[in-house]
Amino acid sequence: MQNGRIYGYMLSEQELIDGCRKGERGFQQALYERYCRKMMVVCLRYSKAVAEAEDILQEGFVKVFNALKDFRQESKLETWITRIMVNTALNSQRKKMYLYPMVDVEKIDVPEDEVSLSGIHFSQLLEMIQSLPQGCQVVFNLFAIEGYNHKEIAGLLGISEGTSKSQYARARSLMQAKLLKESSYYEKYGEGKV
Amino acid sequence: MKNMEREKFEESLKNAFDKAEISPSDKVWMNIELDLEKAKGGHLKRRLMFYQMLAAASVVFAMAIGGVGFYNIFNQDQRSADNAAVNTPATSDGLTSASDKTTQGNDLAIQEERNSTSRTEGTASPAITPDNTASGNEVQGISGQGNSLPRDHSQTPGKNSDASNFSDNPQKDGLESFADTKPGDRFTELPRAIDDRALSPLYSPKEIKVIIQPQKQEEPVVDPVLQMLARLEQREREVQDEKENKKKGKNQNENLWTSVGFAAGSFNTVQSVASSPAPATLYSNMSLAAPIVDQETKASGYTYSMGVNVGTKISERWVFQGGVNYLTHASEYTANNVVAATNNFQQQRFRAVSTNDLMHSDEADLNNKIVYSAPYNVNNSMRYLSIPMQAGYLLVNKTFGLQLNAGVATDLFLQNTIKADSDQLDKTSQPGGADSPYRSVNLSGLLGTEVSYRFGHHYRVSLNPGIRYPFNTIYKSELGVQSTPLTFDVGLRFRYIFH
Repeated sequence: MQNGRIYGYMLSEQELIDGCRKGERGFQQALYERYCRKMMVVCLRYSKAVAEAEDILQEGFVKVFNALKDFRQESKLETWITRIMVNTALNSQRKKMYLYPMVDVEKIDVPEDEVSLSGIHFSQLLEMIQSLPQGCQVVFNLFAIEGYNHKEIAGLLGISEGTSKSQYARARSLMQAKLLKESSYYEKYGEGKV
Repeated sequence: MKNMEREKFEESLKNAFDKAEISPSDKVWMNIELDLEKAKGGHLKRRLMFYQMLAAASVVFAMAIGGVGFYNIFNQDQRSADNAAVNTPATSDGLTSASDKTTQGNDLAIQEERNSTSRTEGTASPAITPDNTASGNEVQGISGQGNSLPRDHSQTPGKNSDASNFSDNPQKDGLESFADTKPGDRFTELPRAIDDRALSPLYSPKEIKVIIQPQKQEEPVVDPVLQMLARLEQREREVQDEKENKKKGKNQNENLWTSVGFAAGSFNTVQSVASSPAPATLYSNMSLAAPIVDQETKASGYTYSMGVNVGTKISERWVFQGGVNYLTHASEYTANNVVAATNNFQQQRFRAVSTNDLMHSDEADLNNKIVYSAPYNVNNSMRYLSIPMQAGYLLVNKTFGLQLNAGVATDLFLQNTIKADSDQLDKTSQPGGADSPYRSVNLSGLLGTEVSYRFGHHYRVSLNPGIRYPFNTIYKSELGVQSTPLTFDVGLRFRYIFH
């Protein structure tokens, strides 16, 4: 603590939680500063633009501060905050999915070549994910990164398990195609781009 | 193999984002802070609402205490005034008593003048000649005890108009103006002066007035200048009040309204006693009619009313409303005997037995006329003209309103109609009066709430659930049966607000 400001890195997780539970703005800011960058990545994965991601981040952190008194500390604080961010993002996506419902994809061309992620920066991956169609993007995030299975995803999004699977297969094929394209670019020009 | 490759892909994807960080813009935190402040504000608002309700409850409590206190003081005042009137040789020396004063044409003006001058002391017209020292001394002389009165008057030499207003009668005037002062005036040492005289602590200044009046020597003379000043001040206050009312805005300006409405509900007879052991009653004499009468008095049923009400606001939170309602109580019971009668054309007719028959026939006559029959339903419809008077406390007085009402209703019995559920039996009606078994006038207690919604500048619609309970039985005492129906009804009222 210096000049009245609370620096998050100087505090333990428990101290941060206790301070936030008392509603002290300094502790809330410290907690925000500790996790906002990681959570921004989570929000960006579920959105198409920075502004949209920031809206989700803002809404998510307000929920975090309001719900912190109920946090039972059975998981790590970061995991709990991530779950809140994902749920907030899903709420925001659900409205869009209501307008553009997900359907089963009949035919998917999966590239035969296996792709490697080595040498690919996360920001490039982020761009690729953001460029996926709406439904694919959400299912891809939930399955590949958050680790949900298709049954859980179906329950979360109110779709059938088959739809979840087909959407994921489509997302994966699109990602692989993008990654292959990127890999061939590296083979040709090296990693200088990154 | 392929599945393993897939898992590897997802694992590497997960790892790629594991340590990933991107800074959001500064405005995100600012917005979060704003949202948190808003949420905090909402919480504060709720707390504020709670404290407002608490304050309202405190005011009610304080007013109740104040009311009891005022009642006590007023009662004591009355008693002491009566005592003084008895103990004092009324007008033996030409002095005016309190009652005498009322008969004199200009006394009211004098009183008003005195009140106003005590409020505007020191600002009176220069035309009034101050003579306060004389009055102060004289007062001391009259009371025969050194109290704070002369000191008070001598504090404002040359300017004190209280004494000088009635300089022709300094003894009385000095004391009366002292007695007329209100709490907060500069004569706040009065209680101590009263204590010095070893009077009851509940003695008010008015008591002093009664005691000293016999010592008055002459009739007070009304000073026209002071009278004019008093009127001017009163007008000034009225103008001030009008301005304040205007400031309160249109929403607050609900001082007078009228409403039309209707209500429907049900009633249960919570207390119904047939005094069969008492031989003197009509009920106990009519052995054959008794079971039917018993059923009639115990019957529950439906009630509906419609009427017009007028209400006015008597203070910021208190309202008073009254009106006229047409009230109907309809109950049903089963009878198994009928009364046989002949009409003018000597035809045999039958009608249902009811309490009305107890008033018309003697025992032998009625028992001879009663004939047993198959059970049938009888509907008894009682009609009243009800005049409710209620005081209400406004818990919430905004677009949505919430009000608690309590009061009494004078119910004037109009008539009852006995109608059997059979075409063979005649319908009979009995208006109120000597021949009716029902009391002509009943007094009922009312308790209810009023939830309302205001729309437009002139209208408010309200829902009024409430209960009504008569203070005594609705039947005449000579009948020997008691019945006090507890009514619960819900009313709907449309209110027109006058501006």
